[in-house]
Amino acid sequence: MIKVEDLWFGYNEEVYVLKGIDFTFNGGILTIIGPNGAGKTTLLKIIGGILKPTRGRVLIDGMDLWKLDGKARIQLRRKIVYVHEKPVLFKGTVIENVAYPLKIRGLKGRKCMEKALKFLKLMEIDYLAEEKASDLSAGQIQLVALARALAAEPKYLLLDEPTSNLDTRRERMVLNLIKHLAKKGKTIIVSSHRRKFIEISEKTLLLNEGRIQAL
Amino acid sequence: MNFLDEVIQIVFRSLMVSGLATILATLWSIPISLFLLTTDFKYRGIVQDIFNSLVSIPTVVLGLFLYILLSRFGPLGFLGLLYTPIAISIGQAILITPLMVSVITTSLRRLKGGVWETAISLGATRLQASIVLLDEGLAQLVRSMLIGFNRAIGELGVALMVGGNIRGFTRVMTTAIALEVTRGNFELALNLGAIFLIITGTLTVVVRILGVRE
Repeated sequence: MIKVEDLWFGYNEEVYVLKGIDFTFNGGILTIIGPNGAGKTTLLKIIGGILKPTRGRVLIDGMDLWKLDGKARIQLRRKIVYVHEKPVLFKGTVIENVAYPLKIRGLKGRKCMEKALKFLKLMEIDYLAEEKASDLSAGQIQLVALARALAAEPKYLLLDEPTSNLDTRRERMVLNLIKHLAKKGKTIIVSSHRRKFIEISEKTLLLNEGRIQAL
Repeated sequence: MNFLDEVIQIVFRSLMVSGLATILATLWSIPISLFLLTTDFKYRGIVQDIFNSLVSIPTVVLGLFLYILLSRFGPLGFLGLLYTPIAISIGQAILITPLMVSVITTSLRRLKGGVWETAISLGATRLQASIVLLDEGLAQLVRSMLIGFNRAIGELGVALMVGGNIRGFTRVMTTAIALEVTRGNFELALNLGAIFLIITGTLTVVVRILGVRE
C-alpha cells in the first residue's frame, strides 16, 4: 500500500511544488493528471524515493523510506521502480541495460541474460537485444526502459508519461501490459495526459499547482 | 652526463613525478567528488566553494606550507621526505586536488540527474550507482586526470621548495628551466621548454577531444 501523508516539497524554502498531498492507494492503476508544472513528476519521484519530501511522508507498505537505514532501505527501495518520461539508458547494449537490475540483485551469467531477454520479448523488442543503447530512437528507448523496469520485478511501478514517444500500436501494447500487470497484483501509478490511461485506471488524481483538485 | 642524457632524465623524472601526483590525486578526488555530488548535507555548497577557490592557490604558498610540514623540525619531518621526488609528487597531488574535484563534480553533475537517479530507481545501492556514474563518466574522468597532470607538470613553486632542484634526483623540467635561465644556459632551457610545450600541448588536444565527445 502507498500512503502519502501531508506531503510538501520545495526545491527551495519559499516555493513549494507540492502542497499538502494526501492519498492512499493499493493495487491496480492510479493515473495522475494535471497541467505541466502541476507537480506530477515530483510526486512520482518522491514516491519512488528519489527525492526527499520537505515535509510529510510517504509510507510504502507502512514504512517510511527515509526513516530506514542500510539494508532495510535498499529492500524497500527495490519494491518500487520509477521510469522517467525521457529515460536514460546506460552505455552498452540493450540487453545489458535490461540485465542491470538483475545484476545488482545478484543474478549473473547466462541466467541473467536469459531473463533479460524474456523481458525484451515481453515488450516485443527482443530483436534489439544486441543493439547499442546509444543508437536507439526515443520510442525504442522508452520500451527498453520499461523492459528494464519490469526486469526489476517491482511491486510498485511508477511510470512518467510511459507512452509519450510510442506509436498507436505500441501504445496499445503497453496499455495491455499495464492492465495485465495490475491484474496480477502490481500497483501502478502513471502520470499521463492520455485519456486511455484514465479509462483503465481504478483511480484518477487531478493535480494542479501542487494540490489535489480531485480524486 | 652529456646534454641529451640530462634532458631525457629530467623529462622522464617530470613525467614520473607528475604522473604519480595525478594518480594520488585521482585516488582521493574521485571519492570526494562522489561524496559532494551524491550526499545531502548542510554545508555542501560551502565545501564546494572552498574547493573551487583553492583551484587558484599560488604554488609557492603551498610549497612553503609543505616545506614547514616536511622540514626536519616540522610535524612530518620524521618521514624524511623533504627534497625527494615523493615530496614533489605529494605536493603536486595536493595542489591539483581542488582542480580535479572541481572538474569531476562539474562534469559528473550533468550525468548525475539521469544516470544516478536511474540506477537508484532500479534498486542500486549508493556504491553500485556510483560505479555506474563513474563508468558513464569515464571520458570526463580521464579528461580531469589530464587537466590535473597538465597543472602538476607545469607548476614550479612546490617542485622548487620541497624538491630542492637537486641535479640527478629532484630536478624536473620547470625547476631546470628556471635554473638554466638564471645561469644563462638558454640552450638547455629552450630545449626543455620545447619538450614541455609539446607534452602540455598534446595533452590539451587530448582533453579537447575528450571534451567534445563528452
